[in-house]
Amino acid sequence: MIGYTGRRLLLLFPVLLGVSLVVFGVMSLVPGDPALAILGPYATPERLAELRADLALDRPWPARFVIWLGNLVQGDLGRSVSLERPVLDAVLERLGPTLLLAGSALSIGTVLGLAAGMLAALRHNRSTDRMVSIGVLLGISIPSFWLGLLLILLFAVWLGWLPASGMTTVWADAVSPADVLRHLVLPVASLALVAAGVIARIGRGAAIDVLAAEHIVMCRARGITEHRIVLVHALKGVAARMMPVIGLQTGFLIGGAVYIETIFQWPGLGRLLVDAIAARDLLLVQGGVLVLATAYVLVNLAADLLQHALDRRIRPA
Amino acid sequence: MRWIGGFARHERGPVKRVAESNGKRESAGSDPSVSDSPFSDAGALRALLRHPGARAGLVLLSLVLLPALAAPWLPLADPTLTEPARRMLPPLSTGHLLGTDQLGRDLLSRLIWGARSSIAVGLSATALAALIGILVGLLAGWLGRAADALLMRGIDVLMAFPYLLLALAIVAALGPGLANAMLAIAVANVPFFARAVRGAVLDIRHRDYIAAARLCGHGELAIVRHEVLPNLAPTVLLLMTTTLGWMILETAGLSFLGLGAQPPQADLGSMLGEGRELLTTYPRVAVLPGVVILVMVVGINLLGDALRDAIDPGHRSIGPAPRASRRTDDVEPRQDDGGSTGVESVADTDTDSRRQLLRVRALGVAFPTASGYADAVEGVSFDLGRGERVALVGESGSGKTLTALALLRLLPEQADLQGRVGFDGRSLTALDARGMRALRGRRIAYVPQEPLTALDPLFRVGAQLDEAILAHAPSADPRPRGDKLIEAVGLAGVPVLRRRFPHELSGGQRQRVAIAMALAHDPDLLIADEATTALDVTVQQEILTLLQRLCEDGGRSLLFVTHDLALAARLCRRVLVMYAGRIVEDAPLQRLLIRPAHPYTHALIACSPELGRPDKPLAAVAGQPPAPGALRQGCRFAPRCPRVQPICREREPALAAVGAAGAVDAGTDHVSPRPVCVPARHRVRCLFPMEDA
Amino acid sequence: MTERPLLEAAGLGKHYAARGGRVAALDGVDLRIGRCDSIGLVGESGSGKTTLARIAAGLIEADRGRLLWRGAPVDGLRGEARLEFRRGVQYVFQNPMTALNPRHRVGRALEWSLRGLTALGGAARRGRLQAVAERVGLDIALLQRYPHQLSGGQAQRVCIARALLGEPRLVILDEPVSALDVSLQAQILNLLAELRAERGLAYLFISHDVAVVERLCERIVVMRNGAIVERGGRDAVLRSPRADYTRRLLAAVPTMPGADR
Repeated sequence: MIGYTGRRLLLLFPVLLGVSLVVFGVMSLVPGDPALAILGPYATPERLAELRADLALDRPWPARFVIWLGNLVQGDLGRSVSLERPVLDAVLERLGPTLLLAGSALSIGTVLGLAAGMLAALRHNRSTDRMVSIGVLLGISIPSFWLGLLLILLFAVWLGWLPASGMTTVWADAVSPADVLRHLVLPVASLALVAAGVIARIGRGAAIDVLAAEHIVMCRARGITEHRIVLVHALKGVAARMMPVIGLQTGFLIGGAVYIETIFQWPGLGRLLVDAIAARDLLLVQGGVLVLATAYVLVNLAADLLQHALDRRIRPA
Repeated sequence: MRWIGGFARHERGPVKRVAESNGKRESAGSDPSVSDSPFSDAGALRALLRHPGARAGLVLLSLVLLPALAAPWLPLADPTLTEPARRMLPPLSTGHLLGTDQLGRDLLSRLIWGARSSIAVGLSATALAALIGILVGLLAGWLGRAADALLMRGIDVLMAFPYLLLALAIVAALGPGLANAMLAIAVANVPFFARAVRGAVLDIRHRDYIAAARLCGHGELAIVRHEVLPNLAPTVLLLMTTTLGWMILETAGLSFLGLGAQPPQADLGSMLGEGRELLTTYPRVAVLPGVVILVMVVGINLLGDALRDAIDPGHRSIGPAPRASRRTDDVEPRQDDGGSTGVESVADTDTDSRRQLLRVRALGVAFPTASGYADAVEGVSFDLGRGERVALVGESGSGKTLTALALLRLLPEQADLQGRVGFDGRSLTALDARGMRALRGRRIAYVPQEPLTALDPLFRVGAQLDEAILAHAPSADPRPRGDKLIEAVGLAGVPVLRRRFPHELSGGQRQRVAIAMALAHDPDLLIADEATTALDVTVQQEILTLLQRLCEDGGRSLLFVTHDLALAARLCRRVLVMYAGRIVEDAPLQRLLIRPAHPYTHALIACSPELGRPDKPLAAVAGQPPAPGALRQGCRFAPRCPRVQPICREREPALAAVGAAGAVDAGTDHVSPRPVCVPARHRVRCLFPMEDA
Repeated sequence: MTERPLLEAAGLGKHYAARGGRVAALDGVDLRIGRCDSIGLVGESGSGKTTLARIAAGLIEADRGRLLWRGAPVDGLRGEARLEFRRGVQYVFQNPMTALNPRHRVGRALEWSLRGLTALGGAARRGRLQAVAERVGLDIALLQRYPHQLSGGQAQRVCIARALLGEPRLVILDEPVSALDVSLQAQILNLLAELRAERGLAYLFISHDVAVVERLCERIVVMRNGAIVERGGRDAVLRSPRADYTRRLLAAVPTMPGADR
């Protein structure tokens, strides 16, 4: 277990290095003069020259990458042009609300999805299974941004039960937890329903496989009770198989959060990114993507470690 | 579809599939002419079109696809023509079936044209991602080593990005626009294809048919083209269908954020995005494009599921509903191995039945097929005495394992179970689930063939042993009993062993653990199902000795299921021979080996190689056993029998005492067996048994 | 003067990476197979017999040692000489189902195999294919089927046919009947014995089943843990084994008392 954790942690560094390289590389796709693209057409020649020097545009790209990486390690992601403040500060300030949103959606989606998937597998080919399958089909086919709009229409516009937007900050003293919760319901629901659909779908398949496995039949042959078979043996088997799926699902939730934060005006990193793209604030985009990708890598690491804890046969790739 | 991530990652695989159980269990000759090939493309297509999900999907998809394809020829208004004077017309206005939007553009026309560009973008992105992904996956999987490591680390890095973020970053750099959005989505999807294809290639690369192609002198390129690519088709096709829906959703998403289609160009996503501003006042402008996306993607996903079912029938998303039990009006067995007393109760209490521990009467197992139920086991009747060791011998597909599982009512759910089983004076078939559970593992224990798959891979051996003990003795401390059991089956080092996971043990150790668990409650009857088949001969020898000792010590009964007569001979004094789902002979071991009465038994002995007799002619039986349900009439062995008579193909013989057969007939007109002097309890199912030939 | 052997292996060694270091699958194995020899390779799982067989067939390369085909090192064979080796040594796998590509009709698969081995024209190719198929007892109609539409016995006949297409001198049989039921096993064993007698083939026959090896082979090699523990004539090894392990192995073989006598 400890050896496995160590090896997985070691694998983290090349992946993170690769992630920075990709982020750096993508930004060099920008057509034309990067300094001009970052500062916009109204920048003064002095500012342009200064930025060109900062970015070391006269050096070959490997040298630029090393310089950029050096700054990155020191926490310097550059200054946001649109916000006129350090990128890292802006990004970290918005990370919390996004994690809150995605985390809540992930927990609810996982519990809901696993329960539905297990239930469908236990009632394989009966009406419960069919209903879950239809729900799953809708869940994986519905655009989450459209679902968000429908929820706003229903609960905010027509019924007036819940707010559709209005959260400007999550952590300030003036904001009560109850208020945050009220604002969280609709965006979390839009994300969680979709995630639950995906998890239920794969969970159902995994549960059908596990329940049909020979060791489950052998548990029955030993006279072990059915609820113990389901809740101990089958559930652990399904959970072990679902860990990577849940890890991956976090990535889709982070992506979905970009839409949902935009729709519900949630003060998260996703909305910051969309705004930054609209403002052509490339350094801010770079920083936001980098931070979210790092968070995602860590989540996947946790998922892998959990999976290994559940199933010791798994070795690092 | 968002689940493809999970699907694609699966190849790195949390569960390493255990090697196919073992060679001996290979399926016996099914009738090949009737089976649809999942690999023949015509067969797959037929199966696909019969699938109700596929039909529903096709209907939904064509609802969107047909108008979108025909858009240039439909009498539609120009989707980009703005008419501020005619803005926000309600549906059913003249000339505007669905009304107009905030700029007075015809909504129906915009929906159809928008769907057209959404589909086009989704298709191109899928094709692009598939192309690059296949190339990367093929190179990595086929070349292996350094190329594999390098390419897959690259793919890992791409997968380290939350899916949409990579696309966002690319669009941010390239600038907004539908083409850039398409490119970005395609790149973000490459990892899924690359991983799936690599996984498939790795699997194919180690197949024997690839080695066979090398043996035939073919070069690498020819092998990839001829042997690998055709086998990738299902993987890629499946992934493309599943990704297509997902890509349509995500390009719509980018357009929704204003990063895809730019005005005046419109796709469904950008319409939704523009309509968002009017959500409170004119909801239909935002709702309708979403409906079109939903209908289209549901259709694609339904088709994808159906395709998966057609390609991989083992993993049906949703199968046919279980039918009501067949022949509800005909529960009485049509025919019974017990001869004329077929309807006696298995639970009666006369002295004879008290001597018998297990009484099986007219046991039948059938499975639903496309053309009704097929009998895999039919009319099996036998008794098993206390302390008796009986072998159930048969080739693969003979129904011996199903018979063993049926005794414990452990058959798969769709199996139909007929007949009666009596155990120690009680009827097992009449027991409820709770009563059955109380017997399993306590009075009747089961030792399976492959102990690696029979132990839960996720729990330590000690925990599973304790669990088996606690199942019927919930209050006791299971450890002392468990330690004793481990020692009883000849395993050393109890504390270390308890902490091991099943995969950390050798095959012999695992089988000993499985036997220890079976012994946990000192059962009266042990059912060992090919318990030594997966083991090497020297280990097999040890396990057989162990089983023998355990049965002799406790006066325990044993039902030893095996394909190998020699193994049966090692352990049992009585043998039941099964063929095509029926018991064809029941005889004491010596009698069976020296004077088999059934031509099949005779053939089985004659065609087994024997050590020390290399010149024994192997009288091979031509042909192969019939598939379940293939033969409805006559003796099941008639098509292969060297002594077959015309009547054998019409009448099925009953299992009757040797010497009393000949005239005995199945079904309606039973002929009472005449008493003759034969060795005790030699029964045969043959109209013309081999009597001292 | 002894004739030059068909295949000669000396000091073969093969290691695999495994948990906690490298595991020797094969450790210094010598083997000579002459014309018309039939050698039985006996051993339990993990003894290295399949590794040896695959190296002998040129399917994998050894880490150490030499492999000679008619006196020439196999890894140095190029062009026509390589093709001659390919035609000369063929292999029949344990599980016929995984040895056939599920996507091709077996007739087409056989024809493709023949194309790799020879430069025969279309008509000659089909002629040879039919002759071989007939010889191994394959109904011509079966050639139109996909592998999964065949029974195990039929599929193994297809594999044997494939091995015979190039008119080999040596056929390596890796547990060719272990996946088959006894009644089908007997058919295949009889076929193999006939083929050897009529074509003068050399066999390297791998099996865990000593009784099967005894029927088909004149010499027997016993392997354990990647090394050869005993070798010799059939009767010498089976009747008076010298190695402890061989004795244990033979004692463990289940026998049918008094059957069919």
